[in-house]
Amino acid sequence: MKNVLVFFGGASSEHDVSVVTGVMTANCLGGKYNAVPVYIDRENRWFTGDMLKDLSWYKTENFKAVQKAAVFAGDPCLYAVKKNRIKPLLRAYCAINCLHGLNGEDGSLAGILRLSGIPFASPSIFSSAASMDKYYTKIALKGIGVKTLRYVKADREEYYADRAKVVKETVGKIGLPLIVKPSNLGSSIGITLVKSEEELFDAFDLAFRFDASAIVEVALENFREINCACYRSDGKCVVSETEEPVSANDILTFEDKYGAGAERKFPADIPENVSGKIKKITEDVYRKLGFTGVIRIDYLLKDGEVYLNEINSVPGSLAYYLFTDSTENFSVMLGELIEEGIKEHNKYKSNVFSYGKSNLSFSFGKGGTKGGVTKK
Amino acid sequence: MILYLLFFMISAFSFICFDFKLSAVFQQCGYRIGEFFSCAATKAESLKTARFSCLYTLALLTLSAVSDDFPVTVCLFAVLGIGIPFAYALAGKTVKRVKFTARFTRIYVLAVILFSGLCFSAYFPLAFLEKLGFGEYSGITAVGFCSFFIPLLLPLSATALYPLDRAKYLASKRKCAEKLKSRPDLTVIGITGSAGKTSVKNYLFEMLSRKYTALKTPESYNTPLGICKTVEKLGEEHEIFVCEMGARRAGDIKEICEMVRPKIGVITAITEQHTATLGGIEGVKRTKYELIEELKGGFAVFSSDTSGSAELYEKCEKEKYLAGINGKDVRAENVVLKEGKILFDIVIFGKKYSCSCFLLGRHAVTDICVAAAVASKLGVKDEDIVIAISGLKGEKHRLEEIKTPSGITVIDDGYNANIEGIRAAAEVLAAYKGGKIVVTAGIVESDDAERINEEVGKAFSGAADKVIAFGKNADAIARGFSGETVKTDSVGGAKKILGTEVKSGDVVLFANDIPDRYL
Repeated sequence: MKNVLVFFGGASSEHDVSVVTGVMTANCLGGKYNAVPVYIDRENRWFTGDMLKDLSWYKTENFKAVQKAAVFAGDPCLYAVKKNRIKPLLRAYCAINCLHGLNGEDGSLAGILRLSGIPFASPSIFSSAASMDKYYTKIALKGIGVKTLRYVKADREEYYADRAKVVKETVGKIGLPLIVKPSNLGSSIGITLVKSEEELFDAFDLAFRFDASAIVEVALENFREINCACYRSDGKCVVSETEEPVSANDILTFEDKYGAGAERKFPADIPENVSGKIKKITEDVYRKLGFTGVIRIDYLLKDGEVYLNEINSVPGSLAYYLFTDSTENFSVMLGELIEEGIKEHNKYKSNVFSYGKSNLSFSFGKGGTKGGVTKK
Repeated sequence: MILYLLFFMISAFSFICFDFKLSAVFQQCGYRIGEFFSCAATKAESLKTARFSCLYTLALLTLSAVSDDFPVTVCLFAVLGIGIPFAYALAGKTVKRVKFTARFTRIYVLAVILFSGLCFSAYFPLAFLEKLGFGEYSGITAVGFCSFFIPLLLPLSATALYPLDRAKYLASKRKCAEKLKSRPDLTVIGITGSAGKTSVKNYLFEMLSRKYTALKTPESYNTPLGICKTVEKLGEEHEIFVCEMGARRAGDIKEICEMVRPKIGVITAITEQHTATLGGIEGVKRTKYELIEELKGGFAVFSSDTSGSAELYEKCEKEKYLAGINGKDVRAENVVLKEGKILFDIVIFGKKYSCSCFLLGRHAVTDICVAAAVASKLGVKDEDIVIAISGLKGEKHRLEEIKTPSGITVIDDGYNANIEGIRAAAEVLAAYKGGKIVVTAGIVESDDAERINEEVGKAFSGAADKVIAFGKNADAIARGFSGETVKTDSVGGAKKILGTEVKSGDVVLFANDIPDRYL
């Protein structure tokens, strides 16, 4: 059996949703893969154990029934930690990131996996980080020529140095109504729709509790929201149909994991040329920003114009419902993602990192001080 | 043999059950025997225990008189022996549970052993009943008799273990003092007062963290042992230690100061709260002032917003600052309470900045000003102080705002214990829009409950649409409140009523007084 680590939970405001995504993913993995749940609690501690595949565990959070877990740099294994003693548990074949939001979706998990040498079926360090931070998303998308809403970046230190000035300038540049979003947050927390200059003070106060910078965008009126997902299988991009979420709730809960019709329109009821355009942008973004794994891109549609709103590098329920309506097919899709992750990992490994033995060890050997290092 | 084992188990079990609530009281009293016996909860609980002990003894005695059949008796003993203590443990609810710390476990285990020993020694004289024809197993009635003494056992056990505990206590204090002495570069800040200690500590910590690496005592740890535990975590990276200091008796603050040697002292609000063990408000002032007397260089900051702390400021002859809404060196202007936040201008040593914070209650501004004075004197830039203020978080159960998924805003003020607190909560509630419901038991711990709870009702007049009052003060609250009051007898009843009354968009304030030792 090939052990696949499924990471979920996390010290983020989307902890609970991530648990739902992760538990579902771990239970859907089958065939030649053995799903190993790795739950990260709100204090960033890692746990593993079969109980974690059962949603009822999270009601009681019985930590005695699970083990503390860890990975280490340069060693693609999962370890159990017990009272400062470590014990290797298993060799990890691959990992899937189901952490939504900060401390996971932002590239931090990709980083730890990269250093440990565990392949992962999820976006890489850079593409994760760039999709998490709204400011960097804007810059990256501008670089590849994808249209987004007009925005300015607001800075916490500047705001508190002169609140009235920052508010006035912001309204001057963007106009009203506008939307304030903390740069670094994935969910709707901290986001305010602002209709007057006075409200902008409250909106900034709130946003700056969550992050040191915020994005201020024009607020569209009478717009439609369209989502589209993409992943790579056997070297080819698989782009989903477009969907239109009808409720404001854009997070798929466990209850509506089969996508009850009332919650969304799938496929979205939009002209074919528009949906074609959206699918093309989705594939372009996936390729040009070097994604791996499955991503979901949210668009805003107004007067035939398409604006990219945000990129979810770890979409809720891994957006499987946009590709298939059965969990069996989701299982197949996970297999494809894993094998693609392995391929990416092998490609990465074959890159040249260094030129053989370093000069330092050479100078050590001679006991000299070449390179400014003295042997003690 | 089986009988002896059963005997031991029944005795241990009845001890655990009968002492279920008293042990929590004993722990709350800090294992101080005098305090334990003078505490009202102890008397009430002991009386209840005694009543149950009577029932228990009678039941066991009757049983041993009527039955001679071995298996039947054993079974019945087991049922009664378990049933009655268990019924007692379940009767009534426990607000505070005991925490099994190392020290408490020691005391507890010894008490169980003592009780079993007591039961055994009573067994033999009682076995005499057998000869009077009371049945073969009348000796076991000893457990029932002995259960009258249960309230005495924990104090007895604590006394026996006192030398050991005292030695451990002194050792950890010495270790803590030595560690701090070896760090002359470390700035120690002591914070004391009747109210607002924990808030000022947390706010100050956030402000200092923008320039320094600081260590603070966690939660409401403010006893010498709690401080020792914190100091164990002190590392080379820490530049400042923010230490909350609590006092139950005169000399407590001095004792802590001798251990941590603070350079900077902060006195927060001084109120009439918990004055009994300190000897009235004058006693409180004297005790808190011990901190200022013990300062090693440095300076002192006083809250301007209670007369007690302001008087201590006048008395102080060291380098001193007065801060608070009406402060001198740091003060606040244009304080506006809004939904879920406060807007105000802070004047830090003559320079004015507009601020907002996501805290509730006017007293939060006082605490912010006090913390800002210390931070500013320690070289934190004003701009950084203002940013820190915007990110401050409140404490649990102290005017804590919780938004429920069903669209109801709950303001949890579960630790509200005096009329000033009630008035502050009413002011917070007044700033909200939507239907406003207050759930309260009024002020329980008061000499003049009638009058003070009428005041509680008055405070909510105008601020709330409806009050759900429960407990014995419900009538008095209803008299004072101008709107509709729904009266009920228990928390459970109040919750049930609330469930039917509340709708999305409403604001519910839980203003409850759950004093530590009322179980």
